[in-house]
Amino acid sequence: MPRTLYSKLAMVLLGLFLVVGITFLIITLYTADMYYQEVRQQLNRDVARHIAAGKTFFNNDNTVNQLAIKGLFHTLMDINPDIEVYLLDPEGRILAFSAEPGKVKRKTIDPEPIQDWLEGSVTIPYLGEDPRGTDKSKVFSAARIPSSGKLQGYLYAIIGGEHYDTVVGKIQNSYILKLSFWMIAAGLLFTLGAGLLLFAKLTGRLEKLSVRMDSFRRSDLADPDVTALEEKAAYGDEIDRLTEIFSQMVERIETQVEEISRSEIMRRELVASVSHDIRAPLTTLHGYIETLLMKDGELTEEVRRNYLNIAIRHCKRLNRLIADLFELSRLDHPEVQVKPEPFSLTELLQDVIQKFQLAAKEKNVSLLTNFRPGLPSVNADIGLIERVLENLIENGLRHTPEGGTIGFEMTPVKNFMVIQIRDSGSGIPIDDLPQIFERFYQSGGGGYERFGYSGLGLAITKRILELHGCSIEVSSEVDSGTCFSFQLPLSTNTGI
Amino acid sequence: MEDNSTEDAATVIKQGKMVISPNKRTTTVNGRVVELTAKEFDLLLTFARHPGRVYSRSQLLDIVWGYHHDGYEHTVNSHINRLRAKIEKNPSQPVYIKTVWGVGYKFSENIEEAND
Repeated sequence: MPRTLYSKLAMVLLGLFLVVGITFLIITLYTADMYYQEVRQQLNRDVARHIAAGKTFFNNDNTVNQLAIKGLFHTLMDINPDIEVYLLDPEGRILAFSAEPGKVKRKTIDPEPIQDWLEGSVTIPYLGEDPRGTDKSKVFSAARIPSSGKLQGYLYAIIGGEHYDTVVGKIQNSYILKLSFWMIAAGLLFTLGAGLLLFAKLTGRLEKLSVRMDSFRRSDLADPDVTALEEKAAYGDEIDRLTEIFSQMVERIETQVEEISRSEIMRRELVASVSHDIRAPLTTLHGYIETLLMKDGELTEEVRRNYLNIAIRHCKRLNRLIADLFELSRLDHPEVQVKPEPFSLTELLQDVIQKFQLAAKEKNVSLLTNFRPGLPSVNADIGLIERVLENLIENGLRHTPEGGTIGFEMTPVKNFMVIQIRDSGSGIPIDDLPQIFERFYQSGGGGYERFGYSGLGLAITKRILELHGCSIEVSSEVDSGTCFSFQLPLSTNTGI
Repeated sequence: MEDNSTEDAATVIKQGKMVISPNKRTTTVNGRVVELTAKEFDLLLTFARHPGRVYSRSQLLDIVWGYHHDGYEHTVNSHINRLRAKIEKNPSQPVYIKTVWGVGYKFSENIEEAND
């Protein structure tokens, strides 16, 4: 089966030309034949009458004058072998002929065309039955015998010999037919060649286009089911491939447009919640400072201090929120750089825990560690991973009630260090689990009053781990605790 | 906590195969010069002046980076990490700057680096 468009087109063109060529040849042969017959019949219109003139074909007893006829026919054959002469009786029975015996196949000839011919009401060429073939008709000339008086029979002359019958014979015998045959063949071949060349040019461009589109599509995005589609496309021609590629691209564009509009919605929501989260502490701050200004003299020292404390708390909150926003947008930048280096995660965790020890003690939450010295180093960005640990500990502290615990575990598994941070806190309802890494999501709604929390911590955590090519998982049970778990690649260039 | 004033700031410190010269701000290990950044050198000097003394991360931050560091505690971790990468034969099993689990870091009092 031809696969490319070009070969398909070439096949169709070739077939078409063959059909046209053959049809043309047949028509040419037919019309040439008709023309030939017409000319012959026209020229020899009266030949039978001339032959019959003044001859006696029948004896007085109405029998055929064989002797006279034989002589006449013989002479005729010698003069013009193309004219075959027959003597017929009024019913069309052949009485005598000018040929070797055995050549004549018919015994009777339909007399009707002869009568029509003699009446002169026919258009030339006009065919009559050929006695030498049972199914053939040929142009003829005929004469009444005798020319006047009681009808005794007909002189029937077939014009155009036997040797003229086959197609090849016709072509071989005619210079004009030969010439036109070769002209048709040459013309068709030339047109075929030109057509093929034109197709090659057109399909070549199409092929180039499809290759370009294909490579663009492939370079655009790595599609998981690209190979399947490629297999499908490999069976078609250029247009099939283009159609396939086009529909794939349409699909991709649609998904991308969807993604863009989705991220646009998210962006708007983000802006809305950022504005809200910035305005809320700002309004409070504004309120307290205004009160302090207006009622400066009326307030007791204690109330003033209280107001100032509240104000500074909201300041801190604002500060933290803006810092987190800044951090997140920095991490979202496409050219953000992660600088991985081998380091001891145990040490970093120890230092981060130390930092939170005081806050944990105040809240009466124990930070449980079971460090095993000698754990392998990980390969990651120290500053960013510290941020991850801080965020997860903060998150744990925020959700763990007094007397609770936060446990840390590190286990090397294959080429990774698995880190688990488990708190005995309030837990997260299963419906909320997927959203907790979304920006500004806070478990239980009104986290606004919680001191110094922006709602961006877990989003930052997730983003940092994404930048490390890692993911974070969470499992939780309401009222019994939450466990965050992520992994970091072990460093390969330092021994354990 | 800061008792640098009682130190002779110029004294060359020798520990194991390490020689630190505070004046020239150079460090050699096993005779080979180690290129350290200013902060890395300050960090090493802080440790080496008091072998055996344990520093927590926040103390190191205060001493080396000053009181107005404003966060960025991770700089301590990255600097210790890079310092070790430069001076230790095997940074994952350090012999000069050791980790005191649950507390902080110290400069080893008796260096037992294997001879090579």
